[in-house]
Amino acid sequence: MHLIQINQVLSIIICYLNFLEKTLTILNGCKGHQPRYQKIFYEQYRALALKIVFRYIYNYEEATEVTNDGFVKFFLSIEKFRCENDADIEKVVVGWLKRIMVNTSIDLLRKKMLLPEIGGIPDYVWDIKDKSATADQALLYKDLMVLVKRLPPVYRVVFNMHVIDGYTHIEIADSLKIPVGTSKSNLLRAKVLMQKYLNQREELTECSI
Amino acid sequence: MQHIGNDMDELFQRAAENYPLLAGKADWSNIAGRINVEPVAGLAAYDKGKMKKKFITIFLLLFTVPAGWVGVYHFNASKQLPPTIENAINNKVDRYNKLNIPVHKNTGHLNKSIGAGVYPSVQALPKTLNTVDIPAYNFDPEMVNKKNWATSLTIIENDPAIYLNKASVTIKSMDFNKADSLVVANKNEEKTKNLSNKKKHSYFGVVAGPDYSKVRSMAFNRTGIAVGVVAGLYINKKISLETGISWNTKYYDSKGAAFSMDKVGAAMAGMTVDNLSGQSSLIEIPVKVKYDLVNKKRAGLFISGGLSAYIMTKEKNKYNVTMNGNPEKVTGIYNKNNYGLPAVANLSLGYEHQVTPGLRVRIEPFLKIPLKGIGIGSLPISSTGLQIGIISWLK
Repeated sequence: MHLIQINQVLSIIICYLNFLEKTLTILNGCKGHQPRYQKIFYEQYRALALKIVFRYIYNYEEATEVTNDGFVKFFLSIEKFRCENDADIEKVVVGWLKRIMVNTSIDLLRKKMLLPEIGGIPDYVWDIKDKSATADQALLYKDLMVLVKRLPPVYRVVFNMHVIDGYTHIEIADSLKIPVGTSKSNLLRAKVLMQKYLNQREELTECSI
Repeated sequence: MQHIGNDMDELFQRAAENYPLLAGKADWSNIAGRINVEPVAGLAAYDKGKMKKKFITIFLLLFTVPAGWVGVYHFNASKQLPPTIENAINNKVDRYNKLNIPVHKNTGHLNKSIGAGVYPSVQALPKTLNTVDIPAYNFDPEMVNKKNWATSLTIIENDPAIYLNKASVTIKSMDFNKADSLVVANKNEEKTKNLSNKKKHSYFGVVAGPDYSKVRSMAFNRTGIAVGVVAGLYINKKISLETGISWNTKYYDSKGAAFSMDKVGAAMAGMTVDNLSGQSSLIEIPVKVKYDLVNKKRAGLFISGGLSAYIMTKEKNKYNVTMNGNPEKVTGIYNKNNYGLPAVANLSLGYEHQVTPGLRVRIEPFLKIPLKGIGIGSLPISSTGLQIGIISWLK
């Protein structure tokens, strides 16, 4: 029994080491501007990056473009990427990619003067294939994200940055070039609005029952 | 009722990570096409190595090619020397036959019946000359003595055939009193004469010079350089078609308004270019029409006009941009070739001076007016400068 457990632990460690080595190889390849590794990295992290961007950018097609723009920025600036501890490399690189995606999204929103978007979110952008319990949870998550996207861009950006992506108000203020106080008040208004949306959603659910 | 609190924050975080978003189709080709920009970090090392190579190439082009040219010219010239006196006679016979002047087939002696009216220079010359300069390769003095040609020589001093090259041996103590009527002609000199008076059909040369470029009303930046080769073909006595290829390095400043963001893509998304300082390496292929205003034996003056196509091989721009309301500095290096067909209109006025028969030095101030924008930012770059070159007739 113990042997089996040890074996399992060893397999996990070996898998982790293989994964770590693979990640390091890919990143070094990207640093060396080798298209093969850049493509592997892009395909590996594209879905994650798109999920980050789509929280900020209302339109799906626009979000895919911004994701691509973000990857271009990532590959162009990858030589600046440093990680002291190889064991944390996956975490650090994802954090860095996330920051690039957020900044790229903000750049576009700023370019559009943070004006509110019009039109709904089409159903084809959601990837819900089955109707199991997992699917129910996925639907909940989807609904929550729809609520986030319903927020006006000014509030949505601050809400996303602070609540979901963990930016401090100082970082938000610095990134959006707004006073810290404005960031705080925008977050407060975003939360009030979100509360309102959640209440509406709850009422709708009760009515349908 | 749910409340937005720490638990909800956590729920939103989980939702953000796991919400079921369609990943869609990966578009790697889109990314790959846009990341061919070299990293800025590699710039310094690149510049030093490449600039050194460039400098050596320019040095070689500027100095060794013209030097080689001159050497080849003199080597060819020396190979053709000396012609024999028989050749000179034959040549003279041909020439006089064309003029319908009776001449002895074997000696080239003019018929005594020719009078002053036919060849006035014969009469104008002094009868006795003790020292006469004759081209070295026209005569072997010993041969002249052996064959006793001296007794039948008359030097017609204003005959261009003799006059062309006086820097030669001096034949002393020759008695010309009994001179009959031999006019010396030399095939090489005839050729030289033809070169001077009648244009050959085609020419070829190397040119190099400073280039001053600017965008619209901006001041000139650093001095650039252009090195190239030209080739031309005369379609009549005054007009020739000229083309070539030159490697240019241009330096220029531009305001942000002149810089188009269309080709920049995501690398500068969200940035506004305030101004930039650019450096471009490009290949220029001009097609020009050259018109000779003055075309003398020793010098010529011409104007030329035409169009040039540009192939941008490398571009480096240092931008001052505004990003998220903050001024920042960004450097972009672009290696992807950018074509402009045609990109500029060429206007120039040139002067040519003959240094040796068949070889001319050309000085040509030029003006290049942009017809369309070139480079990553489609900048309308205008240039002026001076081309100095060596032009050789093709034989």
